[in-house]
Amino acid sequence: MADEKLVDAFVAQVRASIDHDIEDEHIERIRKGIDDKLNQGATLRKYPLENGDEPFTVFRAYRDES
Amino acid sequence: MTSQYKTIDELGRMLRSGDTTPTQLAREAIERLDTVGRELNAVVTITEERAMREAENAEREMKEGIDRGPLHGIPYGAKDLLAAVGYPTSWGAEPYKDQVFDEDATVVRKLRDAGAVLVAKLAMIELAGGAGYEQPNASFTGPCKVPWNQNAWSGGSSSGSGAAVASGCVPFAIGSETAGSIHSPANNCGTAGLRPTFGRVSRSGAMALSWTMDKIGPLARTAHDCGLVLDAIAGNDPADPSSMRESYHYPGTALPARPYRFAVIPSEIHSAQSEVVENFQASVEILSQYGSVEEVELPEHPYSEVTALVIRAEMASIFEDAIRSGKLRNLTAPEDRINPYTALAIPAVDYLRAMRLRAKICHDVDTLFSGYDAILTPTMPNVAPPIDQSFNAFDSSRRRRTFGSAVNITGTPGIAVMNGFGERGLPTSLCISGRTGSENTLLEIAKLYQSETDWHAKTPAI
Repeated sequence: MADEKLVDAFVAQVRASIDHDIEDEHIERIRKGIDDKLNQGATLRKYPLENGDEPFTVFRAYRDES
Repeated sequence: MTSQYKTIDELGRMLRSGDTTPTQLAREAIERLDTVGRELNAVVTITEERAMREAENAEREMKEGIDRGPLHGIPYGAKDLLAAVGYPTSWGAEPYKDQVFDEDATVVRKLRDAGAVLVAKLAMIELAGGAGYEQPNASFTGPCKVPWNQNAWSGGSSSGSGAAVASGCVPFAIGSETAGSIHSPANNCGTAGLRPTFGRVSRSGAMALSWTMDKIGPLARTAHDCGLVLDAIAGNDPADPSSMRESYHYPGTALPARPYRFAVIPSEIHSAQSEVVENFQASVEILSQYGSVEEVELPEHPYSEVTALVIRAEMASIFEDAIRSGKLRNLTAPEDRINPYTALAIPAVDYLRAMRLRAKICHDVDTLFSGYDAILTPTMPNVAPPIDQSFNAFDSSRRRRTFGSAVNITGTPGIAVMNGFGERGLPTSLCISGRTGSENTLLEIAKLYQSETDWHAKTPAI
């Protein structure tokens, strides 16, 4: 279970960032979804990374050769 | 002579011997799609006008002695996330059901160039499952049924592609997989299903769900047919920056005559339904005639979490405008209307951490896979779930798919082939997975398996 205040903050962020209202009956599902994703992130942080561990997608400087 | 349940090779022989014609095959496919296909909820659009035009072209060319190869004159269906000129491309979703594109997807164009005949756009889970559906009824065309037992769900998200092939509507169909969407319907419907290496097949003109994970591949009756289709659709495409530069051909060069090296993963087997386990062990026994079998375990990594975060974050970016505007509130499954909001809250650092861990995962999985020609697992731990239950109500304990996450996050290939029946008369399936670029080895192994068994030749009573 992620920190409730953090979950609340993300729920507020979602509500503030969309162009319409979310019915109250759906908020609990959104809370649950956000909690799940924060827990997934917490799981990832149990696996150590070194400073040089880059994301798998590698940026390449672009030059059009056509 | 009926064309139902014939393989591509068999239909090709019928065409070249004059036993049938491309227009006759197209008409037979359309008639069956319009009856059986619709009964199964496998069809979105029958592309009759285009089909007859393409079939007439193929017929004329064949009469003129022009032969475009094994797919010439063969009807097929495409998952409705592939653009085809002249018809809507719905992405399985009510909010997009009328959208049209003015250019064929690269895959559709390549199949047209190979002489294949597009007869239908096939049903799929809305947005390819990217909204996090939790039940079979998650498509505007309704839940797609298994031809073997219509009280069961055909799998997803390439639902109609599996059902249409398994019911003899078409000899092959195109599906796509981000995290199980070819292998799930192949498992549930009892077809062969090939998930190619990431980048092997261009995604240009296909709905994007996850740029770094979407793959396009065939479902067919046999492994050989999957190879024939992959040969036609693979190849570099400047329109898809992630497409592989190296060319692909099937069949490839002859493999060295040596025993194969197989591996099995005990933790993937023990969690499966008992019939799935029995059929898997029988399959391994058959393949053990051709090589050694060792037990291995996947290196320790958070495969499922990395997969989930990558897909959800990329999906949230791709569909951000639709989520923010409320457009997705008209999706079919109630949970799909709500779940996408939560993806807006994934921190960028979590996505990047997932991608950093992904690099380690790719290295470690390749190191493991490099010791073997193929990793053998059940394709799914269970047979098709009931059509009218949530997945959690059916069998929540088997839903965590570590190996399925590992092969999708690494972009490695795998082929599923039917290997028996389980509960409720439903198919079970063997999955043969391997290193990046090893499709031809996997196809040869699957062909060996199918040469020793006849599960792929069985047909449902529909």
